[in-house]
Amino acid sequence: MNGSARAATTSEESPVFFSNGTDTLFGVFTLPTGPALGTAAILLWGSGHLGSTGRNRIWVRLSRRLAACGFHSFRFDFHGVGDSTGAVERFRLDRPFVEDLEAAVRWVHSQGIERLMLVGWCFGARTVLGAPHLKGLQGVVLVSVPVREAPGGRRLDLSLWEVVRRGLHPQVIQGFLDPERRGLYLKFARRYWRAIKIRLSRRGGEADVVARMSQTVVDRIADLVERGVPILFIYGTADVEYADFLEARSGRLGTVLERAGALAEIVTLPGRVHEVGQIDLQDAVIEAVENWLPRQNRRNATPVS
Amino acid sequence: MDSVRYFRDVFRGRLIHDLKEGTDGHRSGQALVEELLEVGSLDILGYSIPRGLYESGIGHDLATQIGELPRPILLIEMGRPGTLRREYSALVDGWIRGGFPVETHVIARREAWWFGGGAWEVEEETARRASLVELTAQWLMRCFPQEGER
Repeated sequence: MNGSARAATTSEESPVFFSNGTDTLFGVFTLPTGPALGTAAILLWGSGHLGSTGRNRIWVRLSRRLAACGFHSFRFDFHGVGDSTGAVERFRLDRPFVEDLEAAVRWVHSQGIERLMLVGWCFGARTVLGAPHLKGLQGVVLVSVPVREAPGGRRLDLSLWEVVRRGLHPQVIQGFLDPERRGLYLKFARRYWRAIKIRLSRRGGEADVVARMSQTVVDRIADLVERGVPILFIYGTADVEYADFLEARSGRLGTVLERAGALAEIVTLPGRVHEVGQIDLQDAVIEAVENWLPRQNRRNATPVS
Repeated sequence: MDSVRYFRDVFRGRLIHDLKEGTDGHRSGQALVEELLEVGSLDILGYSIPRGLYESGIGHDLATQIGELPRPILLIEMGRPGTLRREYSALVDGWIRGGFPVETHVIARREAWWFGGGAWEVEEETARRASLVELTAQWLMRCFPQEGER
């Protein structure tokens, strides 16, 4: 935080409704409490009900602290979440809500702020990666970003034993017995069965690792590196997503990150960051972002594009 | 329905989490209460339970809070389809005996456990949620009709 500035409060925050096609999305715009840097941080939460506040109001706390550093910030509800209109049947990692983000960016630009930093958590981070060519992009923070390609957003590389174990879970059995939910459970069962067949036919090796990692994600990271956009990765050491990230680094992602050099930073925190289940880890993420964003803002004296 | 059970469930959530993660898995609920009172707050799966919430909540139950002045009550249970749970039935019987106009419904859906945020709902679940909203709205309109509808 800027030594002389205080964290923002509700008096610096405004509720905002903006359009994305036929949907009206809800967001909260926070003004800086210190000298304005002319850069806005846009915060994107992951999948689920929580929306623009994030779990335990982590995005509220981050927005207010970034205000003390001179950043504007904008956090919003995806369509179908919180106070936004629309509906979401299912969140899929391979179908991030890029149009929602682009609409948020248009609104921020309409306020006369051209320089942007994007901060995304899990699904929100995948959405950030879906929009690498945004105008004025100064940096991105990817918190526990999944690098695995999983149709339907689910892990399909489970062992046969794990599939059986999950299949016998009382909730799953109950799902199969419920006529209303049976179709959905059958659909997942068919997907897992196909994934097991593919897995059995491959038998490991680097080709298998590469096949399970999202090439789109690696391409998007490569795009950002190519454009000179700094990236901060934040993972918990116990995150499944971190294990996947390390695995992906043994393939093409490793080459991309080597080329990125100092542009890409990786912060690891002890425990599970992805689940957001510990307040001290939430605070550690806030601190990491709060330290990194001003450094990148100073580095980029002029907008990237 | 009663705050003792509510907080017991809250602490149990933390204990099960600690056991699963292998961190402080041998602590008791009482040890958590002591930590809460000493430190002033407790981290329950990423949410802060402040001492003030605990101290002002403990010892209260729904029946006492509602009191004896008869007024309309809508009770919606989320759970397995069928009749109300026994504890709710007893509560409702007491209210009816006390002259409260009570309406009850059971909606077949899993209640979201607030620390977990609840799983994302597929379409049919969304329809059930809509029925929850509809039941509540209809009840409010019946209890507080607009002028001319009375």
